[in-house]
Amino acid sequence: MASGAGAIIFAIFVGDYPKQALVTCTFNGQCPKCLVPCGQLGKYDSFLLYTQSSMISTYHLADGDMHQFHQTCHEARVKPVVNPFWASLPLGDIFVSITLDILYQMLQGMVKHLIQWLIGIFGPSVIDV
Amino acid sequence: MILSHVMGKEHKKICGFLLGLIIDLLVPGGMDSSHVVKVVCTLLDFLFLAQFQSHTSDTLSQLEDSLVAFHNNKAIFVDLGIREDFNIPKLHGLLHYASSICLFSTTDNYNTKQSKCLHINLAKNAYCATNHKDKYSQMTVWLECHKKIQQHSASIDWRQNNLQNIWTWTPIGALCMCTQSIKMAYKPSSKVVAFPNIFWKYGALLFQDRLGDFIAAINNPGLGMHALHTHSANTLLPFHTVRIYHNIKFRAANNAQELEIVDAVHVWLEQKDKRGQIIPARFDTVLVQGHGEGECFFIHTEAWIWSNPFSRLSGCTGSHSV
Repeated sequence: MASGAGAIIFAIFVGDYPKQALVTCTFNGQCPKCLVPCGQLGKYDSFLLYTQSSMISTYHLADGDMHQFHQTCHEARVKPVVNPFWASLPLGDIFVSITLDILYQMLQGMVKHLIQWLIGIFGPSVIDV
Repeated sequence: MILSHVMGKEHKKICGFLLGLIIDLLVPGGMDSSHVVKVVCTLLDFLFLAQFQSHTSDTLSQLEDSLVAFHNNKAIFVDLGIREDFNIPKLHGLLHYASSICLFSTTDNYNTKQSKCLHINLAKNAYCATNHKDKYSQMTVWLECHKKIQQHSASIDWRQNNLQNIWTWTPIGALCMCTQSIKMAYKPSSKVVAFPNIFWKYGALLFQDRLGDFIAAINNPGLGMHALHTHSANTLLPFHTVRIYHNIKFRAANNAQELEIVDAVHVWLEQKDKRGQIIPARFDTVLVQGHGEGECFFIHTEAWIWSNPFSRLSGCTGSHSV
């Protein structure tokens, strides 16, 4: 968060993946930034990004018919949350502000996977960590 | 070591030697391991590029290239039967790295490592120090003590370093000034300059009078101002030209006890350089302190002139008493 002249502007969110999924109201196993289909997480491609404005218009439906609201949230692939905290924050976009995370995404994420794959190939006695 | 207990720091170290570990291994089944090496290499490239503390468009495109190369070659893990797919959210997350760096600067600015460290130091360690009953107040007291100990040890370190430093301090600034010495050129800038030229060209209007005063003071030390002027009026100058030096350099001993030039005074007439361009005249202003108490001369637009028979600074005319 960066403080301007008296106003606080929500700029970036630093947290690990479960917290990212929590604040963006996205489901676990989904990307908190873009609408990548579940089966294509391993693909190198660009996907449609979430935008705060479209999400807010979805969440405004909570004032009306609940069934309709749940249906729309399901289609938009977000959790049905009534009035998320970022809906009223000015000049921010929660989906843009989600940052990458070197510690859990790379060092304890991809590197860990990679080591396990290499152990699978060469055997645990060769890759002796 | 169990892999799930490995910390980020240790993973970083593993990255350093992982490639060296597999580079000459044979894939079971006799296959060449070059493909595997290539994939590992691209992912490590990506990892290290992503941790750069400053980025250019080049490094960002390298980052993107290494990710593309990883995706192009990752099929080897499927071929070897290690994985069936790559549906890993963390792998997908790598796609957003370049755009995130463009938006929010380098990755060390928003690493969860800092908050994780704080959580360990301020919450986990504090909780371990309690007896798990009424923990909140115990944790606060523990943190307070811990902070005080840290401050005290920092203060002890600072004091100890300071004591060591006292003996290694070297005098700087004004203290060095007393050790300055004058360095003059071996040969004068002009060998023969007549008194009228000193008057007209160098603007040293009272040069002859002051030179007379100087000679009179050398010959009759201890005379008063008035008597000195009488003597100087009777002094015959047995020459009518002087040598002129255009520079005085001041030297001082540096830390290594070697003399180095710290300042210089320049005086020269308007002249032309080799390409015929005019170099304007220069007369530096100098403040000279005399031997007498409070005696100080402010000399400006004058030449430093060394009289012919004496190899000593004889003085400058038109000086103003300050």
